Amino acid sequence: MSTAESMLRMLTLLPWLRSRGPVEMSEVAAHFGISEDQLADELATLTFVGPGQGGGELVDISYEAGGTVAVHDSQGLEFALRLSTAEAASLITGLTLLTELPASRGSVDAAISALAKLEEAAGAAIAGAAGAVVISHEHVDPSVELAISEALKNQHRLALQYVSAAREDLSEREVDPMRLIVIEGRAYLEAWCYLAEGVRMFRLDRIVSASVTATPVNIPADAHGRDADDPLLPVGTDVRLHLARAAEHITEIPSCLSRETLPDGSLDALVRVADPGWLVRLMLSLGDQARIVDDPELSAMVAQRAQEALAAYSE
Amino acid sequence: MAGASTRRTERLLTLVFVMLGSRRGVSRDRLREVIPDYAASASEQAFERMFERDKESLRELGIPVETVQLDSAHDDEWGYRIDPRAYELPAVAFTTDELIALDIAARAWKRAALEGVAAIALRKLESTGLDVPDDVASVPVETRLGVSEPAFADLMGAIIERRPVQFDYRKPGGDSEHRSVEPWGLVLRRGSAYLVAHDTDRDDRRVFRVSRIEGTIARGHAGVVTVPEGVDLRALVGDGEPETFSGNATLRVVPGRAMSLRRMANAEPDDLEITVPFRSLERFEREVAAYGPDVVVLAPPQLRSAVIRRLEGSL
Repeated sequence: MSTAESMLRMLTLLPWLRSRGPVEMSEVAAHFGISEDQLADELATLTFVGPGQGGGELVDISYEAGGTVAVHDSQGLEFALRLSTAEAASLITGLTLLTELPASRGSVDAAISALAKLEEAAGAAIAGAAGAVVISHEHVDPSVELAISEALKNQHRLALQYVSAAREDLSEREVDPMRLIVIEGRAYLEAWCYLAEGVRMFRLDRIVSASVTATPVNIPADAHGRDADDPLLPVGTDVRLHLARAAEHITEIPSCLSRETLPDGSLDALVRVADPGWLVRLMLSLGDQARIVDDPELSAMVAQRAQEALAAYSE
Repeated sequence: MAGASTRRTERLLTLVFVMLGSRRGVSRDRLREVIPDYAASASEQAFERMFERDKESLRELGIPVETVQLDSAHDDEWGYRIDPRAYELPAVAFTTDELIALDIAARAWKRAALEGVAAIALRKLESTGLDVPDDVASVPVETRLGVSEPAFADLMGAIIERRPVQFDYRKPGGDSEHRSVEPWGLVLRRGSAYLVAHDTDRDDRRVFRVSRIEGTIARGHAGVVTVPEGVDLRALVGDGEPETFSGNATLRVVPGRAMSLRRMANAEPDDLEITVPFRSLERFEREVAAYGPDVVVLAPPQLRSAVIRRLEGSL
């Protein structure tokens, strides 16, 4: 944590707390994205400052029963400092990501107007911040986006045609939409799936068609969405791969748990495998650039599939 | 060390209070009286050095420290002040929907490079008398930018301030080399961050993976870099593969299989032969090989033989 960030937070804590009544410490910490210990440290520092070193001219902070904190006298610091370049850019990037999600029409509109107002407020600090970071999403069919947006808004069931990533087959399913999630660079619809009888994530770019039905959603009360901060790591077994340099990009996929560069420049990688079919496809795509280290059964599956493919070529 | 940095933070905060509270400006003598660290300086020069450094630190945080003439009779009598109008974040009338969008935008940085910065930015906006509604879950959208590389924030700052940068870049295989570039923009694609820049030594445009940047980013002077007009950052990052081919592949596909390829070809699930456009031989070869016996390349011949070679490598 840099001193600069800590300074800027302290200068924000005062007017923010001043504009509110007593707030619970845990809530303040959560709002500022820091631990309660760090918050306590920063508040302690603030109680030693003010325009004069004599008594009565210091910031007045009180801690009350029930773990709340309140600022009674902020010594003239009633206002927040203008947004810094980094602060403006962080919000602009987050809003830009929202504008790239037409599957939530309302959010796009709100993000676009918020962007315009933010740029006006931040002024010169952010000339050039818009466009510094661009987000490149997979192509999603506009009619799919429209249907999802409508279904989420009106709380109606959707009929989907979906290509699964693991098996590359087409399935038809009815789902009750819950929310949109962007995680690890891809956009998903999270929904209660009647085919799987559970909550599932559907990659938007793999939805072939979506139509809104007349049925209102009926999501089981105990159905929970995923925690967006949990990594998308599948449940499965860990397989060790030996990779040539040319296949280094494999170590950058989310299911790669660890990597080690060997003296000759080749790599050892540990990969989480939920579906053996997925690993077989990965190995076929890499050819002689990758080898499964110590799982003869999986190696045999890859070799057999390659043999079948070569047989198809010699027909 | 922690004690020293807390002490410095206290001093800087006190400076802000003192200068913000003075309409006409505070003289150096007065500052030396009220700020204990200045009063304790061993010499005039030591005080001057410390004060100059502090002033610079405050300006770097975006705090508008002004130098004013205190007394028209003595033109060497300078004072220092912070004009509240220049300091204060102007109130912006964000609507409830816009505040929710801003909240989602700030949360997109959770567990990522600018988490604290984005939280401060949002709290600053709230300090102008706004309130992000608590029930943010009413808008069913959750996003995560997932960029955890510390280099990301530095690069973003450099792009906004149009500064050239230098860094060590790890090549595939492990060796790293020093690069000097004029950064144009950052692209987020499939969970990875890319820097598009003009490489000064090679006098050419280059795309860098931010995760392969090692150590710290050295920054040059602000306002130096000019991004050429009409640059399409998204297109420059593209698939991350050179375009080595332009044309169509004719493929024989098992009915119901390889649905992603069928979508690229606008083909029906039971078509036996499909035509798919592709631009990178290497990438498409990998993609086709992954399907094993489900997909056989009929044309072009160089793709067919490349896929066969790849499959043989999997035996």
